[in-house]
Amino acid sequence: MTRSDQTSYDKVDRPAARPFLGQVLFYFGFSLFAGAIGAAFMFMNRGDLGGIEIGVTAALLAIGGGMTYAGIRFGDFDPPSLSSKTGRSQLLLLTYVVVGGAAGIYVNAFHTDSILDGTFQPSRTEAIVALVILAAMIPSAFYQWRQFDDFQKAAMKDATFWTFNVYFYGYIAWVIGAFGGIFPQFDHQVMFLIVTFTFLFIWAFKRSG
Amino acid sequence: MKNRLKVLRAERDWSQADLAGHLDVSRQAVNAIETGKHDPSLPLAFRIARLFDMKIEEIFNDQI
Repeated sequence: MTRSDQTSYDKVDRPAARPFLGQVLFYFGFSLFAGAIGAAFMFMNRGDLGGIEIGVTAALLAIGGGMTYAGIRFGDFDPPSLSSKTGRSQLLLLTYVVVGGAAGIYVNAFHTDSILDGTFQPSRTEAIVALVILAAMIPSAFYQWRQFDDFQKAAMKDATFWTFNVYFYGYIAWVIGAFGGIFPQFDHQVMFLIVTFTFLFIWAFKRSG
Repeated sequence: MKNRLKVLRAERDWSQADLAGHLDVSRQAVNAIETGKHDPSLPLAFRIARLFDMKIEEIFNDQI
């Protein structure tokens, strides 16, 4: 079998569904994995790390780890490297994933209870660290945009278009509905999650080709 | 938009990853262009044409 024969049946005509599934599995799996680690710290901080908690955490770690591994296998991600635009873009994306995972573990471990009961108030040090990370995202995003190929840029533009529309009209509809007694009171955190997942879904769908 | 990218690539025995490397784009970008799901920007179309030493309209065709 020649190389072209191999590639014809291997990577060349790979359907779009598989890379898309890989993207979804990787990001959701990693989020679940990091969240489970944070939850384990939270249970330890509360002092109630019993059999049920250990079982749930272990199950989430296994599911999240399995999804992440499957995502890497299915996803056909471009290899991270410094020598190409695509590789540099992947390196930055991996950095975001690691920083996001670390932040998720920390927040889950030390602030879950206060977030849930609405009394969340970060310390000054935590606020400064968060602001430094978020401020670094601006030049980082600018640099990453310059590394994107035009297919990636098109996926980002599509995702941004739909995210903006969901936020703009969704926000107004929710507020009017809440005033009219149709919807529950407007919740910024829920809206943040809606627009975030809208962006990720459209981006992953378009990016999968 | 129809294109001959897949044929031209196969003639050179390149994988999608090989072509992506020559063009400094992702493999997904090559796949999306080949399958007609994404039309390349004009700068990328010129890069593709130069790589294969052809004119853009010899590779891409919006008539068929």
